Amino acid sequence: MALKKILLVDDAETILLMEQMFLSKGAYDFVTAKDGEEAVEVAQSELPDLILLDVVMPKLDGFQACARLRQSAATSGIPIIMVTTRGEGANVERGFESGATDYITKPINGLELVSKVKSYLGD
Amino acid sequence: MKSEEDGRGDYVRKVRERTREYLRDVLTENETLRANVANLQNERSFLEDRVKERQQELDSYRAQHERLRRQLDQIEAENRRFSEQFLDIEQQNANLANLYVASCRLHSTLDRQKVLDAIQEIIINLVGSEELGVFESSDVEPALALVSHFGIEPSRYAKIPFGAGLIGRTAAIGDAYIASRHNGAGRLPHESDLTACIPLKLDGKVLGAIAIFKLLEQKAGLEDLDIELFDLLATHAATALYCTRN
Repeated sequence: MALKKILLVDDAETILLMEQMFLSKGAYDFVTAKDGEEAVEVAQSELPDLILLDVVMPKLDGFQACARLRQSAATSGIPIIMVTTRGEGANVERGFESGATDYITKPINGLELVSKVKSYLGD
Repeated sequence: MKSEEDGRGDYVRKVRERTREYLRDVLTENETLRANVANLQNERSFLEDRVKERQQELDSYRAQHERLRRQLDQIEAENRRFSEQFLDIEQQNANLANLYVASCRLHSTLDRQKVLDAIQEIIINLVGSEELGVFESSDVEPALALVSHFGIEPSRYAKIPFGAGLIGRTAAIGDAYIASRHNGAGRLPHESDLTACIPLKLDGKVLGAIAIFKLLEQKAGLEDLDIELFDLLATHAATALYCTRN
């Protein structure tokens, strides 16, 4: 059975490492991108099952990248979890407006991350 | 006259005959009823025995049900304990992952800027603060010099003499300052938001300090894991920075 693929997007190497550590117990394949533009490219070529998308990034921020992913037929249905530093209502609302499926806040809680990913991809 | 007497005699005979027949019927009926009563008594006795048996079975099922209920309660309690232990272990794993990642990031390069970036990333992403300063001890005077910062006004922290304010005192005595655990006496105005100050130490010598100011809004306060991260930063960040010195 093919492993579920997750695209991890963050300009901070620390976060990419953390996310992979937290999710390493699940049967997942990981692909990574370090900015919004790269995220859109990788998503279109790899067609992941789920995207963890940082908000504050160079070139294209998480909101813009999310909106672009939703405009493309190939990626419009992929669940996108925004990883945001700020959990204020307005920020979260903007994430949902741009097409995000869900969000988590930094600092990332490992158990919360695993639980959210499982809720979209199963065990 | 005679025929009148004959008529009465016939009548009496007939009455007697009918009475005898009636009596026979009554006796037969009586026998039947006796037999029925006997049957019913037998049946009753049989049914009473069945009721007793069923009652015993019911008592046995009730006792078994009670035993099973107690076992179920025990299993559920055990299940809850295992679930709590599982969550604890998962949390410990997550904490270890944090520490592992922090250590990896600090020691994955000998490039000074990358080490400073890694320290910032650790504070921002693992501790949860977007206001921080990284200081190094000056070689020429007992003071800290700001070498990296995020979210603070650098001019206010450019140089901090040892012993001045909470940051300077941390460098002077070499012990971490944690706002929620220590007295903030001696706090300078620009240190009002200081959450923690960690001395960077190598071989007992203070090489610098990391000052962490306001935490992210969604972070209610420092947790045990943060204190462990501070311990790790105190030595590993110091070592990593020291290794980048020319």
